[in-house]
Amino acid sequence: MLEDRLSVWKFKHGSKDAFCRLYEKYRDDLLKLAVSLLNETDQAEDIVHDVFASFIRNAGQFQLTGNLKSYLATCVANRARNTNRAQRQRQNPGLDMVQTEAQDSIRPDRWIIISDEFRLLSNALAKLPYDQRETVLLRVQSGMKFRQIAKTQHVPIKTVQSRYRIGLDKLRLLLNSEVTK
Amino acid sequence: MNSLENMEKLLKNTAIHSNPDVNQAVLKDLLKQIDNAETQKSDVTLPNIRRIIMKARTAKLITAAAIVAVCVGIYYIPKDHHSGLAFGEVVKAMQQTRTVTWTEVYEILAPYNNENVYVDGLGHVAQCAYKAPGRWRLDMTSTNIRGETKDIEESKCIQIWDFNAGKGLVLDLEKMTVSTCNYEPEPRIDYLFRTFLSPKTDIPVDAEPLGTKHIDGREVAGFRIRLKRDGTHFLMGDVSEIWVDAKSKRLVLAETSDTERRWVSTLKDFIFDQELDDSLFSLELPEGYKDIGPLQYMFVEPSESK
Repeated sequence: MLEDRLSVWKFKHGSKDAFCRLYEKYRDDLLKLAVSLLNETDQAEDIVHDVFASFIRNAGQFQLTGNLKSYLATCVANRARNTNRAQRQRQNPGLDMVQTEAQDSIRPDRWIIISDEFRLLSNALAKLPYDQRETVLLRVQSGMKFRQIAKTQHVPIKTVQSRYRIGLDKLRLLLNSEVTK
Repeated sequence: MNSLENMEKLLKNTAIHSNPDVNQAVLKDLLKQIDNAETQKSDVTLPNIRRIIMKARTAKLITAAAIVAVCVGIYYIPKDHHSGLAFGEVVKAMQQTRTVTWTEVYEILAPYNNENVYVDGLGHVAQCAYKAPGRWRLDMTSTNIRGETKDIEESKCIQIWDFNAGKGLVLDLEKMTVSTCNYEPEPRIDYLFRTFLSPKTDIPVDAEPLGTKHIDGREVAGFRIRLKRDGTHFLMGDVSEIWVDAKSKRLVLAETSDTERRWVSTLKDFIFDQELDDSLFSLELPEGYKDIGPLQYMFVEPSESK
């Protein structure tokens, strides 16, 4: 965390190397989070790119008061939520987004390379209600605390804890049923 | 197969990989954006600082005060064929400067942006002082430059700034109030001024020799300066005419404006390298003044849309 603070400080004072370090450090985690949230690689790639671009634009005013990873993860989650909401409205209002399966990773211009294992997991995650999926991912993949997630989602902490337990349980059932097929 | 604990492990450990070629391409694009952001930074940040000053009722623009610096903070070196004075010599002479005081007469000629500050003839006269990088003082009287008093309530204020420290003080001499201002240190605002104190400057500008004339019995050489639009020149006008002493090569008179001539600022009565008492630049709250808190200004934390 101290290292991140130092990198942010250096970046704010003009060090491109510091930015490169942050990019290398968090790029894959953010891509994983984005694609897990959306189960769609094109938009996930756009979101992560936009988050870094936004970070650059706001660097001058950026004050790191907490954990950079959590901050970036929240940025990704917010954008993914907006994307999900927009898609839901376009596709089928009132329902959670009908996910397409995580796309193939063969294309040479693809940023994200997805393994079969991840695809299986991502497809199972896509079957969770969005709020549960987001809660599970922010907690497990991004290491955020329930309190932080509650703040991000504007809900009580107990709601987040409940979403987490239910989401994780559903995911277990979904994956078990995949295995037994 | 999967307990909840195992599920957590699975979610944590199932990795994705990213394409190294695309990683590099994206990084390259982002680094380019950093360059662009650097260029635009002064356009974005400095207006906010300008807004600090605009928020003080008695204060107007510090803008023109910085012009002195920029006028000479340039390294394009045309030669005035009449005086034989090269602009680079002016820069060099100005870089020797330790302190400067001058008078600024600033007049708003037309509405500026969306700020409702335009009244016919509105402007200010300011006694300006520069002591060291970042440290400025302006004793300012807002008035009607054309000598008319209608619609304008004359007011006096003192602004003391330390741009490197990110601190400022605005004293309203009539109301006996003081406003403080703390913001992220922005040496960039002063970097314009510093340009003539440092030989390293890259503000792109064209300087066109204007020949010579006499001001107050002194021979002066003129240059018309046009700053190129690169986002680095916010604090000064787009076009300036400066007149420098042919012997000392230091500023005697400068006039600057934006391209639309919405405002014009005249800088005169320059005195160089006199001792300036440190107390004039003190940022301590003076006795007898009521502290009315900080000026309404702060940098906005970045926020993501929900």
